[in-house]
Amino acid sequence: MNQTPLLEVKNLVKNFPIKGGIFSREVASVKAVSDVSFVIQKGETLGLVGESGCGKSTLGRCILRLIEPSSGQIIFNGQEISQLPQPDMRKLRRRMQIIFQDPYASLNPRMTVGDILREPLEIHGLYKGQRNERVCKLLELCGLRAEAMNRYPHEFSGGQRQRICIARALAVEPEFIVCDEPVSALDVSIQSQILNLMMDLQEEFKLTYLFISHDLKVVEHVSNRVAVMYLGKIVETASAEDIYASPKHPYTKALLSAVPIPDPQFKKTRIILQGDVPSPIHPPSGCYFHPRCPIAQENCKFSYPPLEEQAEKTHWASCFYAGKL
Amino acid sequence: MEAEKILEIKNLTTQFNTQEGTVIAVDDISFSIYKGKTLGIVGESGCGKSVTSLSIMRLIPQPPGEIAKGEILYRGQDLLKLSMSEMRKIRGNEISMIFQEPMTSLNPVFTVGNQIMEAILLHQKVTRREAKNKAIEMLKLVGIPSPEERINDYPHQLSGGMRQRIMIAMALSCNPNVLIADEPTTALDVTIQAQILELMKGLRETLGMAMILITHDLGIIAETAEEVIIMYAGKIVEQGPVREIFAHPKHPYTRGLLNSIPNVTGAEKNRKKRLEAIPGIVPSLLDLPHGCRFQTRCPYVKDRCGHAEPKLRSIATAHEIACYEDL
Amino acid sequence: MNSLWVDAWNRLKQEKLALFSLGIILLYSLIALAAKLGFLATPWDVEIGAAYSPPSLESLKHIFGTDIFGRSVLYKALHGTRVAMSVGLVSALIATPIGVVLGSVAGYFGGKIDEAIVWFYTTISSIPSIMLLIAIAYVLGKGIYSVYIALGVTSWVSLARLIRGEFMKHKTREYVIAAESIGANHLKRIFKHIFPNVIHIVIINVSLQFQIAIKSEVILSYLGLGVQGQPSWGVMIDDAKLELARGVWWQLTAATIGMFFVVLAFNILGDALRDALDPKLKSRA
Repeated sequence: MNQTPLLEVKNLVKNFPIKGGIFSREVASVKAVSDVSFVIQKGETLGLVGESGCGKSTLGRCILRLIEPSSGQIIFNGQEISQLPQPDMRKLRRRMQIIFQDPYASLNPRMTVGDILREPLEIHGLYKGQRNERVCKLLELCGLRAEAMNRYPHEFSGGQRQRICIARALAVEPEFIVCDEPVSALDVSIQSQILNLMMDLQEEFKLTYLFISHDLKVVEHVSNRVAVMYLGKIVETASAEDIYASPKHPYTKALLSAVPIPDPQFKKTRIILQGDVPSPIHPPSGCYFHPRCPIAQENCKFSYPPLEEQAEKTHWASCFYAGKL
Repeated sequence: MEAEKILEIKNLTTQFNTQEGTVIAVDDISFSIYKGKTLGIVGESGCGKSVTSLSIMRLIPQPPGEIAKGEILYRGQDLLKLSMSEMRKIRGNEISMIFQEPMTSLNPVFTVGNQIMEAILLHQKVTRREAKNKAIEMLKLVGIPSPEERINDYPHQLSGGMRQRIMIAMALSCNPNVLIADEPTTALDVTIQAQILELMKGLRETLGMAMILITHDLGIIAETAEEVIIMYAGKIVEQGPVREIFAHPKHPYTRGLLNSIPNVTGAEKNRKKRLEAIPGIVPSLLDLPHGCRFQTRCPYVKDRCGHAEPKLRSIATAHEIACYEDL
Repeated sequence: MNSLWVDAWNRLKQEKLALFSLGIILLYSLIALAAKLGFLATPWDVEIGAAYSPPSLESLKHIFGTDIFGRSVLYKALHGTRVAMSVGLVSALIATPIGVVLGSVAGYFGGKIDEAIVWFYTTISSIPSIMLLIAIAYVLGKGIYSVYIALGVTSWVSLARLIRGEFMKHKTREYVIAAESIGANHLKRIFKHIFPNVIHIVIINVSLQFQIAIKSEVILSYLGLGVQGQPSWGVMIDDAKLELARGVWWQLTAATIGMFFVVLAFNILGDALRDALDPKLKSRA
């Protein structure tokens, strides 16, 4: 398909400075996102997986400029937005929204659900005179009763609160939603309800999702394509089928093998990684993964492997020995 | 060869007296733990699994909690009848516990070595030097590199995975007979989780202790436990051998749970299709329906489910369910 | 409708001591109002007996005896509530906006603005407050208006610190980032979102500051810088300096009793409000 992608990210970098000393100069920096590039087509779900500290949440927020990127380009619908002044960015917020992980923290405890859902409509001047109807419609779309409008967030369960967050994201009719661990804080039986809701809404409103999660099972299920992050870099990206059927990067393989499978009969060889995730302040030299990689060789310590297309088309991995594990 | 029964819980009922009413967090549950074996307790939030483990350790704050009924027989002795000082001799020594959040379970102002030594010195008559050596040994046992140096570290200097290993070292330092692990890997990354689970399985083999593993993750149960009990809203709804339950889940809740997990084995290409979700939400313990607690969400609900709570009944060897249906 | 305020009020209602304290404060306010309007303890400045007559049960007026001019000490003490309550109220009205605005701006924007504001209030709070009060009172002259202003401009620092801390905490909370993500600008985020979540701090702080204001007025009057022309507990205590040597204890006692109960009530209420309003107690898993 040669259409313009809805979102294109090029060489995105985000460093958080660490200040120290009497004069609070920058003494080190947390390299949260290092030179990340990817595209998302309209209507697609890109899954972004990785463990804590890999930078996936930071990346999601940078795309929406809730955190200012240090450098790089963000091209949304053909428009470069990484340098857009904040007032223009605010107008753009209609088209790109975010759902957070913690349904308890992302709703203002002092506002009613109705206030929370009306606010985006007021800010963007939508549905004048029909805001209450719009709020009712949104609640209904997300599986909640209209009377929820007059209640406060603390009166709802975790799953219901997450539905309110989804309704808020939908209020302004966005095209693109960053979903930052949207079901990780929910019970298993509620997770599937919310995932179903999100998939239904995607189909109905032709939404595009960036689905960030550490839960590989969930990501596999909802994504068209998956990108794997490690210490601020994307180490592998492919269609969801390919990532799970034939992972090429040793980290992806280890990650997949680490997921406990709810089937006692399922036999698998587990790859247990040694050691802990290194600090993003002092990433290792060469390939960031080499200290923990079961197949690391000498040259892995010296140069960072470029992202290379694998035998299957549209499958990229950044490893000198891709597929050898 | 029958394994030795080391812990038997009989008709345990734990409740909390709150302003809004009495919440019965654990309602009349019974199960047994055998030496060298792992029992998994699975359930979602509010099901009572953590309260069960805290009840066994008698760590329930009283008030507002109280263990209203039941017996907890450790090697034949009812722990609920012991005095507090007798119970303290058991805790950490014969029955140990590890928690979900290693950062908040470890004291930030003491070195990790100090904390392990404290556990040892409390229960064993050894000198400080001997305790220190034992602590270093424990750190080696749980796979911490350079244990002689790590022993002087403070909790905040260590990663999540390392801290959880320290917790395990502390819990095992007195060679307990039972280890209760309450969501030990929930706060850890998946690759670190794999390390810790391997470690725990290995230790169970080497040290021969019994383990109670509490989690909401059915995958962990499938890989680590031999027996499992599934809890819902304070009651056991299904229990039995892990192989049997996963192969033939008989309670609608267990089925629902298993069906709502997205499949990652690649065996079925269900990608982007709707998952089979359990509708509704867990009822509040203050407002339970009359009869079966699961009826508001059950696809097989009938009239009789609303009249009386189904009792646990046997449907196969060692496999029990609390349901009127025969699925 | 189950807002957090309703929850908080229900919680507060259950603390009998807190309700009692609220009652006492209301009582004092009514007395002050009644005295001001002339319904109670009027007139206070007429001679009702010999100078320095001890307390007697002759009539209600005499229950605390008389002062140097033979005036009823009871009436003076009752009028003293006017000064106490108004000082507490007006200084709170002056200090609260200053503390809230400076604290929220510092906490929310951070950086150089924060540094400047923090430097400012650190400097103010490094000067012993009594000295600052005296200095301001000297400049503005004696009288109740100087007391209001002096107290108002020195007691906002603790509130600013608290509000700054709260804003720093809240601005990174997800519900604020969510507000940004739907397009809310800074002003909206500060006032519509964060501020309702920190009002409880203001309420608790006012309650605790009130009694500090009352005590400060006493000190100022004791130093001769306080209220003129109307009775105040501070002046009564000041007078007592000389009287005690002559064995006249009743003016001191009346003023102290008056102060004691209202200060105690505000202390108890402040703690109870903190318990009732603290959001941490409301988190449900």
